[in-house]
Amino acid sequence: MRFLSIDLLRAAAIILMIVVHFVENLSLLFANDLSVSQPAAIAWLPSGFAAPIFTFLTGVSYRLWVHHREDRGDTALAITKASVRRGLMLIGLGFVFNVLIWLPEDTFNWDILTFIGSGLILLSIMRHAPPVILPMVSCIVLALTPALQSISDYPSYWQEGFFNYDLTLFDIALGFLCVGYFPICPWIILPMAGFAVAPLIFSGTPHRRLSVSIPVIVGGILLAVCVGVLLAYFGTPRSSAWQLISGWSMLPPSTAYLCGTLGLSMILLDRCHAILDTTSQEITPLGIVCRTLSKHSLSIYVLHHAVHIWPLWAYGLLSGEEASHFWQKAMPASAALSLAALFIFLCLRLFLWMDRTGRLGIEGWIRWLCD
Amino acid sequence: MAMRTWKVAIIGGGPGGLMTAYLLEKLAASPIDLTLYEASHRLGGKIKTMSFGSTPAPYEAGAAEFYDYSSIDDDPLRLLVKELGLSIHPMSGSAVVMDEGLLSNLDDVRECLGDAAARALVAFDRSAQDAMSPRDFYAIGESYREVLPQGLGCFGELLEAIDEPHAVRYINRLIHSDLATEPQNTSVSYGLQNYLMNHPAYMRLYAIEGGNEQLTLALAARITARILLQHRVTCVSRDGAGRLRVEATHTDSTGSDSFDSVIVALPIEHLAALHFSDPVLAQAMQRHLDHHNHPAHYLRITILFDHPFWRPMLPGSFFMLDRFDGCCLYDESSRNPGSPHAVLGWLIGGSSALQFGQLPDDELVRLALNSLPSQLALGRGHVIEARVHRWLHAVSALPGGCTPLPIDRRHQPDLLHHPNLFVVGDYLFDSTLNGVLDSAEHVSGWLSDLINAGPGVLL
Amino acid sequence: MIPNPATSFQSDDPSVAVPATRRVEQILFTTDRRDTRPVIMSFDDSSGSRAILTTSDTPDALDTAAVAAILAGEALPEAGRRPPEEPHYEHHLTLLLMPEIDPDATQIPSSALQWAATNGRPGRENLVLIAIHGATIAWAPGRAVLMAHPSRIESVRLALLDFCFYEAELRSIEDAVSLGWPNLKRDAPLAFEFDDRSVGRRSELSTRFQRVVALRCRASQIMPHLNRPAIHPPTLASQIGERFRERSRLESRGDFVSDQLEIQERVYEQCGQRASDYMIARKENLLCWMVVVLLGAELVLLLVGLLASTGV
Repeated sequence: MRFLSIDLLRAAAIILMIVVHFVENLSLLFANDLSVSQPAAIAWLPSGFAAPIFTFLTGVSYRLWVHHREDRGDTALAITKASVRRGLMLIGLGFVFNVLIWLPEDTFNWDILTFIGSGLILLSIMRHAPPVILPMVSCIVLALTPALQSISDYPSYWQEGFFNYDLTLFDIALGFLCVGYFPICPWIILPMAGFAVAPLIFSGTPHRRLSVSIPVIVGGILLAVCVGVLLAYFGTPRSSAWQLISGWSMLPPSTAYLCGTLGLSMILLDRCHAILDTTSQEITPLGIVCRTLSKHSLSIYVLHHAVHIWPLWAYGLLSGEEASHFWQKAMPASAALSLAALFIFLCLRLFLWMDRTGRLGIEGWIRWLCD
Repeated sequence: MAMRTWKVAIIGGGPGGLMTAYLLEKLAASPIDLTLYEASHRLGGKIKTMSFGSTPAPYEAGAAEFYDYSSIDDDPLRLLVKELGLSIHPMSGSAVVMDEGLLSNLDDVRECLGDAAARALVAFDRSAQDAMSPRDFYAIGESYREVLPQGLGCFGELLEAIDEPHAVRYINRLIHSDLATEPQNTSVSYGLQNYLMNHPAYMRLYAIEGGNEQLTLALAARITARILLQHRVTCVSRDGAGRLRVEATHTDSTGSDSFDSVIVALPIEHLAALHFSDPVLAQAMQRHLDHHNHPAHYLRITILFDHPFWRPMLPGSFFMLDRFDGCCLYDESSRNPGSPHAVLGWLIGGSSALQFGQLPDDELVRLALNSLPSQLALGRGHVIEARVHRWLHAVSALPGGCTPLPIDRRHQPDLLHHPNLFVVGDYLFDSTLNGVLDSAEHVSGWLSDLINAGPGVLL
Repeated sequence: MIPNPATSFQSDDPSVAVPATRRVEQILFTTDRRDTRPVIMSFDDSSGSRAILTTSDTPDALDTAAVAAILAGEALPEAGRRPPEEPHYEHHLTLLLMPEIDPDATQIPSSALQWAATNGRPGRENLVLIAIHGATIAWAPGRAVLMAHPSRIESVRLALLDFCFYEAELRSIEDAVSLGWPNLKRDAPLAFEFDDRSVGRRSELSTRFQRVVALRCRASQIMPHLNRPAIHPPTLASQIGERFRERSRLESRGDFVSDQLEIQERVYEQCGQRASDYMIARKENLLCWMVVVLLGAELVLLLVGLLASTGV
């Protein structure tokens, strides 16, 4: 069963991701500079919401998938096996993606695919834990992350604006744990939170549009914590302990960033579910768009990278330079935005056609192999 | 080494002999060769279910009912009936017909005999229950021992202590047919027993569906003994090897056989007719007879009517009648629920049975019909057929004050010289079918222990 | 307590003795002590149940009309009954009393029999008719007709009320037990294994268990009265009581309902045991997980520290 609320939020995250990646990989604008003093940087702030919302929805979808399998009568072992297979498949796909898209030296950059795969495997274990354990783990991870980043000297791996590591076991392990693009600490908080709140939001009882539910309350508290942390950060001298938790940043993900994006994700999902999923109207064209983008999110992720990164590498090589020579400086931001819009349009047409003709995307193949 | 087969003879095909055979075959672990001698053409003895000639209406010609003690403790007879797969039908009846009045309950007693009689009856009932608890009642039947203090005199004296004559007559009528003798001739214990047997907390009554004879038929069907009908045992003697020789006549011929052990399961009157050639044994048997031979008598008059005219007024399985010095009238057809027949059976006991038993059958039937109270007189013109059965000297019971012998001694008259001769009989206990089973259990258990112990023990 | 045959079945309130003429009585069996209406008799069942005459003091004409209505085959308005979902201690009985002096007049009119038999439910006839020693009684749950000599009718009436009360109690327990079977079948798997999905049902299971225990208590309170021994020497009232108990199989039904209650109680007891064990195990499990998580966090910290200090 598909929920329009999940499709809508996931589609929004996908669109945001495409825009952000097109602009940030093809254009010089906003490269490594998210100073709050620039009004455009403030306007670009929502760019940081795509990954949190997407990973949060990963946990939500996984919980609903487990319930569906349980209702179908599948045993716990069968569910775990399928989860681990999916997780391993995504990790493998992540490695292959890194090799093919970002070149072999970026194989262990611990990007979002490997993170989601690892997260699935961890969730397949954590789902057996008592419900209170997940929030507990989240709080511990949130509390430990600044310390871990400090101990592991996070800035030393990001001096050039991207994750730069040596091909040693230590760097690879540290990258997985806390210094990579999407390390376990702290990103695991988001799918765990999604897994934990999914039963509260999708409880089966009708939500009133103006009611205040537990996810909304918790989300509000997280937003309040976010604001409080930011105030503490900006209101204290640079040398104080508050600096450990950083201000608002995605790389590394700061405490305020995690609390704020998680809180917002909870509130958005709860309200969207209350408004959109309880009506029994026929699906609208917007709904069809959201559903299509959401269904093929993995395929779109792979495809959009191939579509805008491979030509970039090819252009660099054909120009006699390094493949990454024109990275972040190929065109103006407006051109990148236009290309992103065009890609979204064409992508939509492609996957609508695939749905009509019954062709499988990467998601379908994974389901066929793993379930 | 081959197991030796024990040869055992049982003389008497009545309930005692059949029960003994059944139990012995059950308990013996070694092979036994049983032979059962019966002088008549049928098995069953005092348990006799018969049928009228004009209509297949069954009735009990012998033992009327079974006593159920299972509400107090184990009831071996009840368990045996269940073991044999027989269904039972409960019997009950509380009515006494006295002076043409139908006294079905205490209200009727109060109405017909007066408040004083009702109070006296209640007081007697209370004192009887106080004197003998259900456990005491059960113990008497189980071990045939006196449970009340000695020196209480006879039951007749106890009744005379009641200062309300109507109540005394009522009690007398209530128990006379069960007592089978006069209250002056029996102990307080025995008298109270026969009074309290009407109390549901002490005992219940039942009959076997299809006729009480189903019990003996079921026993006979299950035993593998060689059954010799119409073989009258005339003499029991000792052979040279220390075994016992039984001589029996069949038609005009006489045969004999030797046995390792002989069990005599005969009523007293038939036991007296059995000859024991060994003088020591004959003396022992005579002593046995002298101690136990206190004959009681029963007379049964059973009449088939064309409809059960008595049931609207007297709906129980039986009721007491103050004629014939107190007799019990059984609604024989009520034993089989739904039966279309109407059969009444008069059970007369004690000296009345002996006295009236001398009369011819027609006279007895006329007397029985005339004994019906006026409320039931209309039934006199609806007779279809009548039968009379005499059980004179057929029962024996120790009178009041007589001390019973030790249980082993009762069943083994000559321990020293004839340890392999046993006796089984209801008269060795309480003269009931429960008593005969107790006797059979005792002997069969004893003998099976000896058999199982191995050769050489018996002799 | 075995009643004294000389004094058994005497009314608590002499003013509610049976009058000489035919009459319809509405009787309520209740445990409510606040009811001040005339008490016909009290029951020795440790819950303080009483039989109360609820027929208001009406003119004889109304009684005559009620009797006439019954004999004419018309229905009387019935008092409402509490639904049988839970054990209750209120039962109603409509009793038509017909004192009869003529010993030959022992037949209850067929219209009265029909009225007693239908009990407001046409087609369901479960009438018990007993004619014994001059008294004739026709009884069905909730209704009865009693015909006897005026000198005997009072004691017989009380014996009948005694029987009606305990039979109604037993029937209400039977009804409550039968209502519990569908739930029991659904709950039975939890008597073997309790899982996370069933945690929310604990209060429901607890309620059902308490209900079964209450029924069992009530059944045990009335069982001695169902199995009471026959008194000796018998009175007409005791004979009628015994006969009714025998015909309506009270003793067997009491045994059956006790067996059924034992099964239900055992299932819910097991459910409670499993639930309790599960909750304890869950708490232990939670503590274990907490320990595991804390150890895991410590491990990660140590690992990161180790990697950072040795791997650069």
